[in-house]
Amino acid sequence: MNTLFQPADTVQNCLVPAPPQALIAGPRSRMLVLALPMLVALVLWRVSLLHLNPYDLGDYGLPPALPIAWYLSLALALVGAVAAITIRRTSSLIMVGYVLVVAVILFGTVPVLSAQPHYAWVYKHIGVVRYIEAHGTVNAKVDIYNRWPGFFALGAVFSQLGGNPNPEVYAGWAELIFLLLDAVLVMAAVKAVTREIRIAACAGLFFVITNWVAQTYYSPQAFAFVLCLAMIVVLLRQLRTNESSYSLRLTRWVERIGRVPQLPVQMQDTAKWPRWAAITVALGVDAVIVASHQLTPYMLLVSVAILMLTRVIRPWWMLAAMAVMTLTYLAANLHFIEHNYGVFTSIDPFNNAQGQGATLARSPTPGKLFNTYIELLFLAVLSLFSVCAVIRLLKLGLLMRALPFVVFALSPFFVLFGQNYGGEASLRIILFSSPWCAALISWALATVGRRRLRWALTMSIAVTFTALFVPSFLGEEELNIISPAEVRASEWFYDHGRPKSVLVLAAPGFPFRYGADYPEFLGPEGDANPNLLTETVFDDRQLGAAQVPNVAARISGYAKHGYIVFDKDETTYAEVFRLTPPGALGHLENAVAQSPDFRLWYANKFVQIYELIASRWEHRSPTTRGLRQLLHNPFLSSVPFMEHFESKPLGHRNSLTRRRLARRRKQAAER
Amino acid sequence: MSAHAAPGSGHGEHAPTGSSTATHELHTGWLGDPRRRATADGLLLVLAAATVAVCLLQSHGTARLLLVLAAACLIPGGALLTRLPVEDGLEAFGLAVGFGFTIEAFGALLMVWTGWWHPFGWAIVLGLVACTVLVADLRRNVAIVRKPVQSPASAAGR
Repeated sequence: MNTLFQPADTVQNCLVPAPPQALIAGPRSRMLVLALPMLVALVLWRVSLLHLNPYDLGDYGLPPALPIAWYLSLALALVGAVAAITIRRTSSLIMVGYVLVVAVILFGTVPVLSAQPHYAWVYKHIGVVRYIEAHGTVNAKVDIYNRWPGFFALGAVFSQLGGNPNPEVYAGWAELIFLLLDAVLVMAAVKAVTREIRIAACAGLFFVITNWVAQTYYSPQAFAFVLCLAMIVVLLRQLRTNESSYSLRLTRWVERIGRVPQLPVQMQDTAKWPRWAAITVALGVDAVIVASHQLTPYMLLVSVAILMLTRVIRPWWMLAAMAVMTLTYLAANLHFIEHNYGVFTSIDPFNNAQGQGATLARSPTPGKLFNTYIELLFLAVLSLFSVCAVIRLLKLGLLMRALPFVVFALSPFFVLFGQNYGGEASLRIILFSSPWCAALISWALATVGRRRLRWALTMSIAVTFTALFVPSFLGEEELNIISPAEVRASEWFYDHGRPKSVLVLAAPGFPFRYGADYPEFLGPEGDANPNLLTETVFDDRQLGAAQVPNVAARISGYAKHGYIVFDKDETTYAEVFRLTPPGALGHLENAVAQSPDFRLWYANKFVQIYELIASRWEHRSPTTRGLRQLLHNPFLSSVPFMEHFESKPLGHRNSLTRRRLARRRKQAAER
Repeated sequence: MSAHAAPGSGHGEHAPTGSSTATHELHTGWLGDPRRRATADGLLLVLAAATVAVCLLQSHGTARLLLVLAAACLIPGGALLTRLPVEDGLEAFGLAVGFGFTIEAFGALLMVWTGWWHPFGWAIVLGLVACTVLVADLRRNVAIVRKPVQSPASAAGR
């Protein structure tokens, strides 16, 4: 066995790599026995989903609707994974296979159930890809996505080569594919430092079952995260310093705290690339990340800076090159960012971290309260286990060896000192931190000497994480799963809607900006669509005929012509988060339907779109004061994912509207 | 450039120590073992051929989508990794995908920024370059495998 699986005294005395027999399973029949539960779990999982209707879920989302067979398949895969990782004679292929099967069960369930990608905000990404396919270029005046187009450009190339101009066909599976790639890269990175596949596989398993934040869907973040992990693998394998310890000063400090001498760093001098090749590759990957996502380059920059300071990686000038690329790209887009989002939100980390906790202020339905509490509990448990792991590694003299993981786990928190990232900073921190928390926990578990105790501890932690993961990740699927009817309605709108009109949503939940010509339509600048519930006149009250003029005013605030869409998911969203009383949006829709100012323009099973036809609703832009009121509505800013629908009302007017207003002012001045 | 030591025999198993010069040469490049590298090169070339065939025969469909995905993920990055040694299959797969995405995104970014939008042209150029590198690596590995390897004992005796 490898030294890291032995008790502390053995670890310190025996640093020789394990003999080749350690991971060889032996006869093929034994391999088959090990692999059999994995195959059974996969079949059971697929069969369990045959008769499930994902479009009629209750307040607790998907978990109560999932059949017992689904949970059995998950349990089988989980027990198999832990067994494969902890038993004496095993195989790396089997371990990695189990990790991937657990990932397929957890992240493949929704794509199997629903052909359409879940999350309404995925469709705006699809819209950008379709725009690039249609026009063959980007327009920096349209939105932020056109200014960071790496992911979208690649998506457009892939769609065309795949023969499917609309990414909707495959985008639902992107979440699983990105997660599988992430898991593989996390395992490779962990193995680069620990040199032990068992620790790597365990870290991969824990990463999969702690990644509840749903950030690997079809998006620039998911793409950039894959590249970020690939770059980390290169850094850890090729650019670590060839010395027996990292920072001597830090080592002495850690030894003083732990009162235990730290073991020398294990360097792997195998499979080394020429230094120039490693640096070129790392900078090349970073260049694509810089042009693809706004946040990831800064996460990397902070991590690499700390790794340089602690003498983990070299050379220094690589950090300078990364900083130049990142800051130059920001400088080229600085005006747009400042105008629409703000480079720095606040220096108050507690304010920037607000996300899940703020949801509680709104008193949503019991199901959503439950989800929120579970998510907070998950955060607490993961943090607690990570701290325990760090203490264990410190006491065993392994903390300096694990320093790269500690740095990667902690450095994302620096983001909190400048940005709330549209209310999503806490989610992104969890995403960037969780692989390395998983690595620390799995390394600490690997040092437990007694095999049965190690198995029991690993199993307990895996079960705890999975039990928290299922409601956290799948508990809001009644809001997130998008029906075919909604996608068809959105497609109809972008195919047939009048150019330079606006689509106002009754509430968040409708797939918007889905068409290739989405820039032809007006609305708030940035990546949002207006919705009624950001305005206090619609908020938390019974709605009806009295609010119809406000609906018309909301539309005419953006364009002369416009539409209002009422949708099943919007109603669910508004009622689940108690934005409106039960039935309020239904009453408003009835009033709109009966109003002479509107006509029914499109309808299907779940969606009705009404067109504003009254000419008396003259186009006028919302006043700055009114928009400030919207922005500072304390309840709405606390609702999760509201930022996807109206992220920055102050910069609401898009370039077309701005140009038209400027022209009108000029004409008025001339008159 | 491919002569960099990579004693790991793949999938995390630790190779026995005390390699001779001949064994040392065998343990270089992608996955260390020339047989494995030749197999990987061959599989990637088969994947490329299958992707081209399906794209020519099928205007759209799941098979085409999956093949294009696999080819986009593995072929350009795999070609790059023939020149950069890696420790094991896990790392090889992850880095191949990461590098493949990087190379493809570079081209895609250039196309959208210049407005010179030719995704099929870009794919053909990239595919040809990658396949040329893979064929060269395959030939080199096949030659190494066919060449009789001196045993460590005879090498020491000489």
